Amino acid sequence: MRRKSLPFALLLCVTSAEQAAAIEGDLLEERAVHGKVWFAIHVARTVFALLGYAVMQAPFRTTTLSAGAAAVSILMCLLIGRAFFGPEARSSAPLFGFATIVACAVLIGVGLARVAGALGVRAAAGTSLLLCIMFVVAQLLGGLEQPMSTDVDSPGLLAALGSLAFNLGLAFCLYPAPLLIASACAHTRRL
Amino acid sequence: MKVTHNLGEFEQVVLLAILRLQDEGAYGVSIRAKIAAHTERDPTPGAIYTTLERLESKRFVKSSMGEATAERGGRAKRYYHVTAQGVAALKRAQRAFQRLASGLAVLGDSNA
Repeated sequence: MRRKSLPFALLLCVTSAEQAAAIEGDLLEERAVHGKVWFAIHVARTVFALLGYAVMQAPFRTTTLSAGAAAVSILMCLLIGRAFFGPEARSSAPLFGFATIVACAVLIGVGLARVAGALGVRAAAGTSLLLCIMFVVAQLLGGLEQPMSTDVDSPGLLAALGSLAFNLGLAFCLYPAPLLIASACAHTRRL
Repeated sequence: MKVTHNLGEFEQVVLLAILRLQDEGAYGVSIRAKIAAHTERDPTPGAIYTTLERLESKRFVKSSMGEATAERGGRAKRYYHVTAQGVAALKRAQRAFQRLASGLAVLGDSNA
């Protein structure tokens, strides 16, 4: 039974299981010569190189899927946020709005990513990757929704920009990780 | 209609490295080492693997799985072999290069 490692799981998000295993083996072989730091850096660089290659194979499809998913995600965050907290909560307590966006987006993103990851494995590694990219972009753009929802008490452009920067930074840290992990879990279930 | 794929410069380098490694076995690590030994470059593993994927999609190389070893964490090697189409593409690229370079004094061609 194959050992499931983090490098293997990351490589699985961008290529097939056979290729991911072979690449991990190659990098482990070179780790004996170049060391652990070299190994970690080149696992990351290889994942990004293969990610870029997969996106370049279908740039129009990637962009279209990402834009469509972003629109759906923003709509769902708006609808669910208002359903739980109501429009008044957003103007009187901006933190509620932000928390709503984060909670709903994480639940939707991670939940759908698990399903998408499982479906993607059955289709192809490349399709799964495209779905991951789709949800990452959707969640990043979902973080834009809060500053765009203004009311008469909004604090002004500087605060809105600060809020936007904070949301995007948090989205970048939070969302890609669960999506990659979910996709990797879906992939490794086949081993 | 038959589609003719052209080879990029690094693709040619990788194909030549694979051809040189046919007896020993051409896989990621050996291909990278062969290129580093014969050229003035140290390609990253990422560049090698994306090029190999591209070459395989163009059917210029084919791959097969080898044996797993303990030093590789129990992961098998993936060996590459150049196909007949790959050899033909390489010959085309080399002939085109030679035609362009032929007679150029700046390159020190004796036929200039």
